[in-house]
Amino acid sequence: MRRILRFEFHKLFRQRSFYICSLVTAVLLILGIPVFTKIAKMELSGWEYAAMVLSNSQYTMILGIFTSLFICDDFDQQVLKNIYSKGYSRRKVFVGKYISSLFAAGMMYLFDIIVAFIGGTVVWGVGEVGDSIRTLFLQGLVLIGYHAFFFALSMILGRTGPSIAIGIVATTMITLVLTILDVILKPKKFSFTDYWLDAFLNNAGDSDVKTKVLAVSLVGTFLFAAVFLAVGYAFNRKKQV
Amino acid sequence: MEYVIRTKELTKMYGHKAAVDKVSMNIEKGDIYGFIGKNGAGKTTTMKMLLGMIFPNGGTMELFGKPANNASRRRIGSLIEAPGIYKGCTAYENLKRFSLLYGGDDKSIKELLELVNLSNTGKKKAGAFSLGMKQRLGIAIAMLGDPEVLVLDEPVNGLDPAAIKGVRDTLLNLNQEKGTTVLISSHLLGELAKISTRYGIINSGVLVEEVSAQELESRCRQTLVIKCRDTAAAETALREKLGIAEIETAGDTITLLSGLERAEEINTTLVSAGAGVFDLHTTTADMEDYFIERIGR
Repeated sequence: MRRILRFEFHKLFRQRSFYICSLVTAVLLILGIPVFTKIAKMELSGWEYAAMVLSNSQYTMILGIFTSLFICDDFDQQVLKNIYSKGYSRRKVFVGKYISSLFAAGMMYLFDIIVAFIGGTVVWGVGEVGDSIRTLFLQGLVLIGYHAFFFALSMILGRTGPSIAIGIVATTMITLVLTILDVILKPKKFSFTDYWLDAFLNNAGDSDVKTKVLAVSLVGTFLFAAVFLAVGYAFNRKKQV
Repeated sequence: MEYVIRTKELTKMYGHKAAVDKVSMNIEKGDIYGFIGKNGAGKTTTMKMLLGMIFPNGGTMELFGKPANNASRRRIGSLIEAPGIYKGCTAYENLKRFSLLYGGDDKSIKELLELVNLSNTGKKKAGAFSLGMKQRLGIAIAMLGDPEVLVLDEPVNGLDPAAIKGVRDTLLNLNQEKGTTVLISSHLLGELAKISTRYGIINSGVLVEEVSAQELESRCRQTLVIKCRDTAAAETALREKLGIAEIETAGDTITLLSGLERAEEINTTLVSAGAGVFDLHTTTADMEDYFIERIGR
């Protein structure tokens, strides 16, 4: 396992897309500042802007793109056969890829927080910490669900283009389908849209959210992640290269 | 006998069609095993099963005397179909990456680059390499970590004659100096003939024959064919006057497996013995003909 991890991390730190995607999210965050100051005429702070990092950097979409680029690279370049033929099991390869890409997702998130904090501080000043750290932490946990979704999709499809396209479309489509279900079925005690990652992410970012709702969001996130990973692994376990 | 690769009734089905049909293959330590068959005969599929890239539907596989497992596959280097390389990386970076999985240090990477003649490619990305260069890089990757067995599927595809000779010399060198066992498939029979010590002939998924290079040579050697009216008199003359023992007679045809260099003397002797010779010529059973006879056109 150690060799697989060394291989995956060596690859990650030499993967241009890792740096480009991080840079894109950072640029979007910087470009977001004048939108708040000039257009919305809002007065924020470094901490407040950092806490809004996910909504202002298109983070989830770019995470989907990066995960597909990183994971599908080995499929596209037919490199996986070199790894499997050398006696590395599909399970180890799956876990190695999951850990390294999750690490990358975490690094990108951390980098964006720092960029948003510095950018916001330069323009508005540091401000109070308030609930910012709690929000960032909880939203970071929900990102594990998104990452698992994009990761599993990439492992199943094994091709960069379709993985990016379906990843981006699917996240929007799922929300749309759940909304339609709410409209058609009109459930009285719950809403379908409340049980998807987008809602969980909003709940994690809401400082006034009830503890029970927050708990459901976090448990739901981990359940989704577990299901995505299990499906991804099941598809990958017997994949012939 | 120490076998490094053995399969027993190895089978791979795609739908109802057997791509590999009950193949029982035996490769001894130190062999250079030439795996011969037409396109789609099942060579690559067999190799992929040995390497764990695809899963068999039946039969057993043994590597190094034990049931095939991931640990035994660590001792094998391989190149199957097109080489799996990172096209956005240099030759050095490709080897560096795989060395993290396969083993091998910076020194061995540089030696391998020298060996496959890629040491002067500098910052050129593998994606910009010619077909032959990519193939050579794939061979270098297979050789990383000093594997005990090399499984090479059409490794000289796309290589120029000089590069083919380079690969051949490298394989012979590895085999003779380090005792590396090689399983190699190629459609270039002449190339295989120059290095193989043993052959496996596969046709439509079935292993038709396993034959050693020596056996094959004896089957393909030159013969002297004599046609005459009195074969009994000819046989007597050949045995008693010329001392030739290896004689095969069928109808009016006598085939001699030895004494070809004495054709003129043989002819004179048979004429004076009154054998009534009306045809005398040499034939060579070509290796290509031998294989084609077994696998069909």
